[in-house]
Amino acid sequence: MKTELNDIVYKDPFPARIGCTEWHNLFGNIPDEFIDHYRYYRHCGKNEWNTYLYPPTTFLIYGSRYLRKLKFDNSLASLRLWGFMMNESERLFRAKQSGMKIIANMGDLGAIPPLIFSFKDTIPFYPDCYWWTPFLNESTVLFEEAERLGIGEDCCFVRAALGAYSKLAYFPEPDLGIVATGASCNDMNSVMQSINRLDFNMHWFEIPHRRDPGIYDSDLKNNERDLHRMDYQPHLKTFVIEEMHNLISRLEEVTGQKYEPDALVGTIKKINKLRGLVYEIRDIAFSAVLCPIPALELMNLEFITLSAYSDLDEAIDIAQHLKDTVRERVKNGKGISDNDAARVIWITPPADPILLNYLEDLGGRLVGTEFVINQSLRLLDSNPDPLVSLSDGLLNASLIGTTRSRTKLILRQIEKYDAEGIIISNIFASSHCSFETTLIKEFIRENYNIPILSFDVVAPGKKIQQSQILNRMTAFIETIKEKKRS
Amino acid sequence: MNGRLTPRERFGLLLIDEEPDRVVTYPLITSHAAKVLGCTVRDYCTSGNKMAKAQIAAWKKYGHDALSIFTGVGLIAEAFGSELHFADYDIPILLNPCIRNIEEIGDLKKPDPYNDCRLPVYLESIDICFETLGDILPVIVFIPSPFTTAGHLRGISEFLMDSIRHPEEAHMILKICTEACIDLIDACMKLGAHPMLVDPLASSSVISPMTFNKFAKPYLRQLTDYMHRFDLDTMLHICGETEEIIDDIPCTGTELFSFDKNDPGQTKSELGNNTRLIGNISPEEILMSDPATISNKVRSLVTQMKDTPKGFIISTGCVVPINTPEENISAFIDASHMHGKYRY
Repeated sequence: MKTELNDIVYKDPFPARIGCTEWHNLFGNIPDEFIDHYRYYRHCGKNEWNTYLYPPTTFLIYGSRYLRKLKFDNSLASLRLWGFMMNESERLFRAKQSGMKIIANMGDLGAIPPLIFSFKDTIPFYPDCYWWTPFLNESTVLFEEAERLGIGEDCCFVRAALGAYSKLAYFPEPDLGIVATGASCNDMNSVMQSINRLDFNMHWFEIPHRRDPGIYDSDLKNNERDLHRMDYQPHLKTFVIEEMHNLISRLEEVTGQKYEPDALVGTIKKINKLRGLVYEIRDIAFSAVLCPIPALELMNLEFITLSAYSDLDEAIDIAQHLKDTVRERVKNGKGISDNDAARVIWITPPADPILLNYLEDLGGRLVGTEFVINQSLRLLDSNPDPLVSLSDGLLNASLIGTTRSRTKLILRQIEKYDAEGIIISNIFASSHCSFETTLIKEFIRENYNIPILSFDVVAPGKKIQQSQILNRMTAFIETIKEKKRS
Repeated sequence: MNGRLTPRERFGLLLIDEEPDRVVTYPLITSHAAKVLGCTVRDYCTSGNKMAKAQIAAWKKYGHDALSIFTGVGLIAEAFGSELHFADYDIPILLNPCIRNIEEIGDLKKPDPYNDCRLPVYLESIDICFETLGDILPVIVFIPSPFTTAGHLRGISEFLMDSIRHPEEAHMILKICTEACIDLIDACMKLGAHPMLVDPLASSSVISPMTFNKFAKPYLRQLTDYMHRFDLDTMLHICGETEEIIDDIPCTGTELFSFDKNDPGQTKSELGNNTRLIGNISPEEILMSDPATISNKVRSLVTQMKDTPKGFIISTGCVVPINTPEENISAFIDASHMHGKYRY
């Protein structure tokens, strides 16, 4: 892939996964003009602080120690994605220093950021995602802080968000935290309640439970074209819209601005652009003969849909760059996997990113995911009332309904992308994992006879337990390959 | 802010223009760490494992906010071929410079940080420190700068004479020293260390401002430019007097300036709006005086400097002397914690 900037051209090397040191060396070939060009918060102009195209070494030096052990895609577009994602903490501080409002958006509320973005100079972010920080830093600091505040290791890794909230060293004090109650994840709920006790400005948003609709349910195969659609009882939308109105009042109060439906319509168009790009990249990657982009970058990309890593315009530009890269690789028959790579769908996001590296190290590739953020993946419809569109988005959330409905998301991908195996990475002490995994396995086996591996992701630093996961993944990929051969 | 910050979190906030919970406390504890561990300075300087263990032991004892990987300013010159003298209880000093005649410049071969002399000792030490404590502490590695390294390749007096009699050759030496510095910086960065440039010979106590501007500053700038490409906030330490070159410090490109003998108030007013300042309890005082005196000095300095617009790190003006009484360092740390608070 050639990336052009004025008259300057940078050509990606042959697609490969490379380590931190190799990226450090390769970074020397990237022209300075590219480093200067890619910026977040472009509306703030050129500042010393708003560049982000840096190699993993930069973030390693500032404490993300795990980066020296990971493998990365070697394209410029992927480096942009990594730099943009790793820079988000600083970006939030810079936003606040520049006078923007910062809105924390937590717990299955991935459908809300379009509304937040529709207010001028108002930025959403997703504290739940700080569950990656202990892994990236190889550190228990945030867990220890959460434990000091009463949330220990009997809660999922999202408790890191509590530690980050308490310290305010990973993001500035949010002007408002939007937190979910009702049909939201239990662990995150306890985290959010604990944050509430720290006296931050919070708004509780109730998510209704999405029951299996029975007669509203459509036939699985009819939904093939819309991988992310969930069925729900129509009256739930009325309830969610009411909740949206309550939230709007609070946002108006915090931002000092009036809600503008037209602004939200404009934001929804941009959000759809981003989600559309992510959908296309995933579809190209999962369908291609050789996988054109590694699983880890695909996960980073998928999570860009939650809050656009706090800069929607730049997120769209990066996704477009990635799509061009992926499409070009496929067109030229290039990729990072083998021809016979085991085709795996991954269920529940692995808090430990190296597990996605293992997949390819062992001869597998990703052909689908269910990372519990379905609410931010589906394109929003163009209803004249944008709140109706947003509510529909929210009601498509992965975790607010039954396990059977969540499993449908998986079954559609098995069918569409010819998956040969399923990995379910449970989060230790995560309440939904403990009961859902067995059911998901059962529901998949009602339809498909494919190997399923499930394991608990272990906390940072637990090297012996992690080596056991590697052993199990090795055996799993071998099983798939053996099955293919026979 | 309710939660207690780790040194890494505190340092991180400072670098993005945010006020941390308290002033970053960073006495330059280098070879003194050998004393804490109970090993010789010779062992400390020649074994990465010992250096790391000593740094970790010193941190456990004092609880300062960053580790300092450093053995002496002749490190790179030694890897080029200069000979240093190692004593059991003193830092290495230059014995025989490797360029005796100016004509030998062409023979200089840039050292390999992974193989030559004690450069791998540095790397091993960084690796262990980063693996052990890098989650909570920045690991700062001192990089002898080109001017100081050149002085150790030629002999200090000879190089200063070269700068007058053979300026072209002096620049040739500085150029290869700069390349060697970049190679070492690169190797250290890959292991997670944050480089701090140290340039004692560039001090106004040693050279004139004109010599600094011609022979030291341009090469410091090349190093900071290199690190800026990776978005690193660069740090520069110059020993002794720097008052005469204070206006030139921003031109080196450094974001954090560690000063020694300057008046802190004046340094704050001259540089503090755009540069983060690191300084400057006198090493002699920390060695010779008593805990109560040090406590008072630290209180006075931190009170005067904590509102430096771009940020302040309380430190020693140069490295903590090897035989400094441990209670003096503890007094430094305690006083800075007590009086350096921004909130609560």
